[in-house]
Amino acid sequence: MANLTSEQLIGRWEDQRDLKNLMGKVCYTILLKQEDQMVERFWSRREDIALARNDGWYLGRDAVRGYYDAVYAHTAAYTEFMKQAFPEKMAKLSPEEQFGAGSMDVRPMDTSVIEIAGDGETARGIWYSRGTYNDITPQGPLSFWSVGIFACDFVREDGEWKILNMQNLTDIEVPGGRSWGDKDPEPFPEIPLFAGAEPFTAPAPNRPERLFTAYYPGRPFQKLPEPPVPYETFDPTESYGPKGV
Amino acid sequence: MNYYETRQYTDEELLVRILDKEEIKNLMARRAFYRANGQRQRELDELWVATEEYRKSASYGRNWGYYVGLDSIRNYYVTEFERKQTAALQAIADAGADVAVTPENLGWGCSSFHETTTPMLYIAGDGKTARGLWYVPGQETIMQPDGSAKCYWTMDNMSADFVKENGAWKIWHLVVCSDFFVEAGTDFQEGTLDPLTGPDPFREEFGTPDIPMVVHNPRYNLGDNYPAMPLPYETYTVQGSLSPEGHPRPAEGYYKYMKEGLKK
Repeated sequence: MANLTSEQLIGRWEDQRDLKNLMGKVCYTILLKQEDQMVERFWSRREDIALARNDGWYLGRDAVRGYYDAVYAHTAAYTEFMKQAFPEKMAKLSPEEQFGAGSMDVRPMDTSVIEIAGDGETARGIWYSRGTYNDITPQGPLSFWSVGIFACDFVREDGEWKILNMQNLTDIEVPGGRSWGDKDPEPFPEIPLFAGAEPFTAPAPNRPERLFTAYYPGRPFQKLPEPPVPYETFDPTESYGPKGV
Repeated sequence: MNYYETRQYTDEELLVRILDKEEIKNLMARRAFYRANGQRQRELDELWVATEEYRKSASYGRNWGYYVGLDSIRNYYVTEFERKQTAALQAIADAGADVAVTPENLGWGCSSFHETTTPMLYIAGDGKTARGLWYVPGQETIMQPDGSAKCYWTMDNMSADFVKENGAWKIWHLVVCSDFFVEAGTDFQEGTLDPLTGPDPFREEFGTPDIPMVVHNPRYNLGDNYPAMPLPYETYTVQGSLSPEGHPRPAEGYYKYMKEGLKK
């Protein structure tokens, strides 16, 4: 960094701050169940954006938006179920209070490694996330620890950082009060009141690919994505994006 | 009045100090990923001090003592660890699991991550060293021969001295101490795990430290206050550092005191 001007140096500090703030906003947008706004607010306007979950890629703007729309639609369906299951309690709430009432999904971000490209046009970052969420199931409301990774490529658009690629990988997922090391976890009993409850099911990725496997006893040792290293300019082959596209 | 209230820096110096903090936070987060990915040797090669002067005085403190010098740290952190990993994998294979005992299968059924949060970080007034403290929630997953895994939620603190070597920040003295750990799915009020007296699966993994002593006693409301919150400082001195010599209680005396205290 010896060759950078003072303005460039402080710009790089601001970039780090802005990228951390961006991922904090992603976390709070999930918490506030505003996934319908996710793509427009935080993702690049490019058509080739890409989101990865453990079982594959959502390639392209429509697919990424489709993923988040499915999350948002699930919250709406969840709300309708709760209104039918608990009509008296839900009737006391405003429509805004009803939306997702009783559910929570939070993905705090920590352990960040961030590298701004030498040319300042892109950045790469990785975060660890000790998340927790709950959902309704035929076994009633269940809460989970959901621990994993957010690994992102960012691009600067009109002076603002936007997400170009994101790998959101789940490393550990376990119901609260249980161990992820149980080889034969006892199933939860079904609860009649929740017989029609449907937990969230993600739409199928348009490029299915086993990218990561959540922990199970006997899982072969699995490395997390590598943290980024300093780089000069964006190279898709060294990115967190899909390969061979 | 402290130096930082009176010392005058140029704008350039202030910017470097601000970016130094970001570099050190990146460094310690990078360490977390290398460790989780089984890249312990890479961590020592890339992230720790490299010049002879600092290699000899590098140290790694755990609740039960200090490993001193990079050779000793490597023996504790890499060699012994891999030897125990191999033995654990052999026991799993002997119990009937369909896994070959090969270097690429080390860590089969295991997982860990120790997050870096809550950084408190000071660059020395002279800009040559730095000192930081993080809180470190995490998880350790240890495969068992019976086909299950022992899974722990862990709560550690992590403190370090850093030195700028050839323009890059490096780990010099590292202290990683457990406050508590508990098996997943159990109530930590009822836990019997203890980093001082055992059973402690992490303590048992490694050999005797070069300086065996109670580095951190997590009992009694963490009353030993070690590692303490860092304070602003002008230049590195042993006193107040994260080296074994910088520990506020003399090693031998404190060790004896704690041994006697623990027997009561």
